[in-house]
Amino acid sequence: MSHRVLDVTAYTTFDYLQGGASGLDWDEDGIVVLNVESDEEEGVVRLSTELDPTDVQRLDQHADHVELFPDQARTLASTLREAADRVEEEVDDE
Amino acid sequence: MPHKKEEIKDELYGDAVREKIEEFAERGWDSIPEEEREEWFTRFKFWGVFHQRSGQESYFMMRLTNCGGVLKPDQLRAIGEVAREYATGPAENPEWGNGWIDLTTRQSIQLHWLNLEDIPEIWEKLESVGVSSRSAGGDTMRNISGCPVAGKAEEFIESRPILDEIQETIRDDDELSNMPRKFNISVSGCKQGCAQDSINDIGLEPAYKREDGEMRKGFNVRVGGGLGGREPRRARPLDLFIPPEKAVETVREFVEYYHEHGNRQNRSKNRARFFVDEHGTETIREDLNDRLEFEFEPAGTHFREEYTYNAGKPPEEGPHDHVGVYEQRDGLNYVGLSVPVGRLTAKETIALANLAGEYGSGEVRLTRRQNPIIMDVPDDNVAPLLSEPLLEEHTPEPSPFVRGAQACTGTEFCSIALTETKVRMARMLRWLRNNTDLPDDVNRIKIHYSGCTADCGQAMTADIGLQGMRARKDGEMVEALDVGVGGGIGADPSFIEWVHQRVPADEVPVLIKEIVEAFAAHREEGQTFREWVEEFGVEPLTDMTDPAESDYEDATLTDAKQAWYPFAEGDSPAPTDPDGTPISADD
Ligand code: HEM
Ligand code: SF4
Repeated sequence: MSHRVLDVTAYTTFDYLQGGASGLDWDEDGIVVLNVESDEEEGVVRLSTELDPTDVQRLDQHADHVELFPDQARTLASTLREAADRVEEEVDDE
Repeated sequence: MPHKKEEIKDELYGDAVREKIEEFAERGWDSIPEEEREEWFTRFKFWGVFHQRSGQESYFMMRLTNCGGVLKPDQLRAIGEVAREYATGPAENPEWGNGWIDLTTRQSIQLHWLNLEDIPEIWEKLESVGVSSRSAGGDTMRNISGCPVAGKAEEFIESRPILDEIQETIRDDDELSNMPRKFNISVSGCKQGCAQDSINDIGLEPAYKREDGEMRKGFNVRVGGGLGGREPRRARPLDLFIPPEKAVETVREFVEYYHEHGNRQNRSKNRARFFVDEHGTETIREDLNDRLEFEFEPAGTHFREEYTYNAGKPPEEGPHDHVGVYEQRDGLNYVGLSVPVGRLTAKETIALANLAGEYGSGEVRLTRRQNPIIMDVPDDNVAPLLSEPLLEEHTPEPSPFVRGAQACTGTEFCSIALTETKVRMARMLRWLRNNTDLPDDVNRIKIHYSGCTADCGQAMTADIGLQGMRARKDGEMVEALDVGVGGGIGADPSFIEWVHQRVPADEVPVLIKEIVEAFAAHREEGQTFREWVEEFGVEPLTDMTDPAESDYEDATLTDAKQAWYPFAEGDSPAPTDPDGTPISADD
């Protein structure tokens, strides 16, 4: 079976991002799907990513996920916002 | 806690919903309070009335039902006339214009762009010839699927009377209208497996027992199949053989059992296939045995190995579909047309109904491959029928690509789609027909296209499966396709493997051409596409093929996925009055 593990629809958070996978002595680039969903039953926010299976030969097809409690999800959101601001500031400074 | 949808259904569902629809229609779109819309639209579905997606507010799709794909004389004509008069939207489709019908993979018909205000009139017109939209959607028993030529072609067991009785005594029973989830029943009596019983919630398939030199005919029972979502299941055998006269009560008992015990809390896990996972076939068999009066006996011998429908076997092993001219057992003929992606204009629909009346008995049947069949054509009428313009367009001898093509709804009407599907498929098929040579003995390559990973178009089980995706091309986001090969159903179902992913849509036709040419060059005589892929392997195919642009022109390459209609410029006029005038939000 070779489905993508993650669903990719118009509701998917990002259907196209640059990314990759690295090991101790290897690196491969690929296109990544990233999705954020709330799991009300478990009380967590689930953030999942999947590299396009045909991009990375070294790995079996799979998706990775992390589970964040709501306050952790908010911490991540504000960290991302701050990091985004810094990136833009540096671009503006150039 | 019951799911919210359960509360909505508990309040009002089934036949009572009809009056409310008529009331709202009388008073106009605006009379549905905005905060109640979602709730009402959930209920409307039971009556086959589906509100279209965002950007298309105030417009509805209607799904019509039937049993086993049979349309009696005059029914198709009435449907065509309704499509001509009412199924017209604020923008034209570039291939089919305005006013057309869709044939579905469950042997039914769908009409788009209907105004709520017109629905009572539409019902009146359709019901006057016996066409209904009841129980066509929502958490109900859907169209009961059966072999479309049941009663006309050679059948191992007569399935038509059983189909009709299930329809009348089970599906039409308002007591059973509110199921935990949609529910599919299939009965096939032929040896071809064309009702695809391995993918239904309960399927009866023909089987026999040989005792004392005598053959007893009956059905084996399978439950809990379904391909949707992340976890597809083939229906699992209950190890139960039933004689034909017990078929209806057995189906009823399973329906009631699921109606009582199915999960009403968690909608992601409550299709009957999960029910079967949870309880196990042995428990279900025991429970059914307790509930039913007659003595259970183990499964009989079935014909699975002989199934040819969509099974990737060479053509000489039996008809793959119902396209072409075939003899009925009463000496008349049926003529199966091929309609690319299942869409007919209203004009073609009416013409088809007229031809069926002129050359046959007027009866038309619909297949699971979105194609119509003209029934009961005497020998002398076959040649003149075949030379009619409509049959030259939707020929019973289509190109192998057209014959195997199927596409889901896509961005045109589906809110979760990533790409447009039907127009693209129709244009790719034309391009492939004009630009690709296939060996003479290949009469079908199944290309299935789904607009996202939900895979309603069944790309996973195609020879060549296409799934909507997005890619970056020349600095822009474009509609793209994952392209895979080697799927199929039949006795030994398999799923596709990806050859290339995120191929910009305008480069896909050349890729398919190269894949098919590789097949033509490397196959052994007589090998089908699926057999060849299995032997040749996918990796070499990835290496030897390359997507590329060509003179194929894509209609929606850079369509933003949330456009209100992928083929229209500018803002949406919706919601509108029945005459198409926008209803302004602030009056
Ligand atoms: C969210 C996704 C899906 C949607 C919106 C969808 C929609 C539909 C519709 C509208 C029909 C026709 C029903 C009728 O005419 O009464 C249908 C039937 C069918 N669909 Fe889907 N479908 C979905 C997922 C799938 C998937 C993933 C598969 C297979 C891989 C699939 C396979 C079928 C088949 C085989 C039928 C006919 C029989 C049956 O359901 O058992 N569908 N679907
Ligand atoms: S496969 Fe995706 S795009 Fe196609 S109809 Fe289903 S949900 Fe919509």
